[in-house]
Amino acid sequence: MSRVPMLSFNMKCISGVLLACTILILSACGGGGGGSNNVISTATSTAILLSSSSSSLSSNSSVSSNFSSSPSSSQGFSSSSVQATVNISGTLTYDYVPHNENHVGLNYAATAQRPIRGAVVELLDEFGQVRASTKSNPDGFFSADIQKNTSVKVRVKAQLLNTSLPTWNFKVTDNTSNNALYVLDGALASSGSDDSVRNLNANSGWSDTSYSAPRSAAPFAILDDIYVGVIRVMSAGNTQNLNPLELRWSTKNSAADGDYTRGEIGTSFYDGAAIYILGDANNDTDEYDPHVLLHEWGHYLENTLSRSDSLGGDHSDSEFLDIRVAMSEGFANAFSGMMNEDASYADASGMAQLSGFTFNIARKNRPNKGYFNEGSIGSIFYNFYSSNINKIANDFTPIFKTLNNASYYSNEALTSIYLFHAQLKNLFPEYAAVLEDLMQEQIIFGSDEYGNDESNNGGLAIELPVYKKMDSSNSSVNVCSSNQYGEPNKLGNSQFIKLNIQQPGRYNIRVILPGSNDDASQFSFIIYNKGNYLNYPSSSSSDKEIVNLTAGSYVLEVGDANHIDNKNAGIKSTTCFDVRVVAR
Amino acid sequence: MKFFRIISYFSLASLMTVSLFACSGKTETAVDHAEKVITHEKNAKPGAAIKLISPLSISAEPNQTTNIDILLETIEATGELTIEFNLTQGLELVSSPNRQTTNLPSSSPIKIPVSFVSSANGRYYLNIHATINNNDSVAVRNFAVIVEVGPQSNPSASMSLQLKKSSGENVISLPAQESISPK
Repeated sequence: MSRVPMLSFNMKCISGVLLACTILILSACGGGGGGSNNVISTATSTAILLSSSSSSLSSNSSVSSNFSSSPSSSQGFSSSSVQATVNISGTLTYDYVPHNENHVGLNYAATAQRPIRGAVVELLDEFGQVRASTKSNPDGFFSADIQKNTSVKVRVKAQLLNTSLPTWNFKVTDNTSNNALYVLDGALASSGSDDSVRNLNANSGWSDTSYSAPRSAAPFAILDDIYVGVIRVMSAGNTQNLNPLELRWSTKNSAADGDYTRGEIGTSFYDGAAIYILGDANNDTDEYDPHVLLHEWGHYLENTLSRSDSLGGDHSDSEFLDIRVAMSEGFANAFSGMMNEDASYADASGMAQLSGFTFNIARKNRPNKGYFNEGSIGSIFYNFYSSNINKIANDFTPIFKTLNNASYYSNEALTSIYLFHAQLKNLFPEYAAVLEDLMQEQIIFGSDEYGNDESNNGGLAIELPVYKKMDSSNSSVNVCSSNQYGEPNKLGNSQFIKLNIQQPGRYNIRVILPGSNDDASQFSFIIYNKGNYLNYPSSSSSDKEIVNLTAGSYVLEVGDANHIDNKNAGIKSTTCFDVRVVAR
Repeated sequence: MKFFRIISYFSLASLMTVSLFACSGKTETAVDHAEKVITHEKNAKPGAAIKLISPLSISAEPNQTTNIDILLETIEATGELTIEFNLTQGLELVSSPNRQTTNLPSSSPIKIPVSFVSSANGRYYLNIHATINNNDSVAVRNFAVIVEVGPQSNPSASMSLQLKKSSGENVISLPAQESISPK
């Protein structure tokens, strides 16, 4: 008899015994008392809820897993009787106040509860120590295990946090209280000896005709808009980490322009570091204006995952704007519409938040069409997004992938609708015709990233070509700066020169009065390389400015300094310069 | 040949050395030579094409009527501009309508006289709700003039909500409507 069959028989026997013992042990744990049965049923019900909520998400399974409830303290379905824990679960909601049907003003009578999605949830003991931490799922459900008979409260942070790649960390904080984080706190209560349910709702604070209670819902309304944006960007294929961002809101945040710690923020805005949001009741509040919030988050997205060369500043639909500003603001408007799946931009304000204004982002028939008009740009983006001609309707992916491509954000040309068009054409040639039709409807004809062949000058002859051209062979070009349409971020304030350097070396760049060799005074000039500033001489002694340049393309921005200081809008003028590049 | 090679190497080394000195002495790198920090304005939300020229803030004395001219500027050439005032509690309009309408175009800047009074020292706000209505669209922009009555006040701590320190993190605790029940 060989040893092998004997050994095999013995191994089988031992395995069978072990398996039987395991089954017996598990049965002892899972059966018998009602508590043990509850633990198993809890685990099952939790699993059912998670799977049903996951199916309600986009098809990106990694997104749903990033936002699913993941009780870090859970010990599994056998924990209750083995480790003396119970489960606390529940649904988290906030009061959402919609706009009126005509998109003007808020309709408090239609307030509805919406789930708090993807937020950090903690169980805190009476000493404020965190005993369990998890996240709410897309249905607002949370679940966490805690020791039996422990006094704990549920805390919901106004925070979206993801620590696995791609990471994000968005917080709603109070800029009038040292940027403290808003949290929604339940009551301290014993966890008991059995599983329990704690449902929490953040109230709007509104009663009849005014806010008469804490506005607990506001930070979570803001957070939920960001949640939507994150989901959509991930679904569009983003794999990069998102920079941490605070959204700073306070009931004191008003239209006064002064000290941010007092709430004097002027307006809702993004300043490259944070988003500030108005909350001044009966004047201007934005926590229930999803388009406003996603407009600002759209600027953040440009900054984080793409590139924007915008100057920022005041802007409106009817103005003639710098091409960079028009692009950024038009995109942000369209982005808000895309994320909300609603082309009706709405901003409530006034007494009891009953007034405000609205506009149709998708509107094509508009005044002042052109590459300088944010309304035109927004209309192009939104209508491209929603078009089903040779593409999937309401698909953000091609737009995102174009903006997020190195050919866009590392391009030598400045950010504009021209640059977007040129790169979309490269990356998604099958969609180019759709975009070009929409551009032409808005009287935009530039054929490449520099707007070559553009014929729409916006009423200013000095504007064309959009980029004047120079090379390094001791050339000169004449440009003119105008504040005809205002300042400091309007069409005509700055002119752009595409400078082509063939030989690397030192170059003297001069801005001089036309037809002379005298240096111009009060001019402004900036050299860009792929959107990065290289130099910014502000004196008239430009002949001393020597810059080392490698071979390649640069953009010079030249303008009358009086047209960008925002002090002379009432005095209309046009100033011309000769710009010379001389190799040293 | 060997001599020629030595000369060549020496010349090359000399040229490189001279170049380095020349560059280090006079070459301006773009970053080193930047004379001005470029600052951008904030990316603000959309609104009406109107801006508040002045005043952004003013000082006043308690129990004394203060008269100011609010200066606004708009590029809109058609339509109607409506201005509504909403003053914070403690500040009152004096003989000034809290709603005024002007046809566009108007003289630039648009001047709106306002008179107000406050009985107590403090920091107040004169809120301005500006609506531009033309056949094409309606747009709104809100402003606020800071009115410091008496000596400059210090920012007050948040009184309505609790500021707590939790695990090293400052938090504002908001009350919840909660239900607790057995599972």
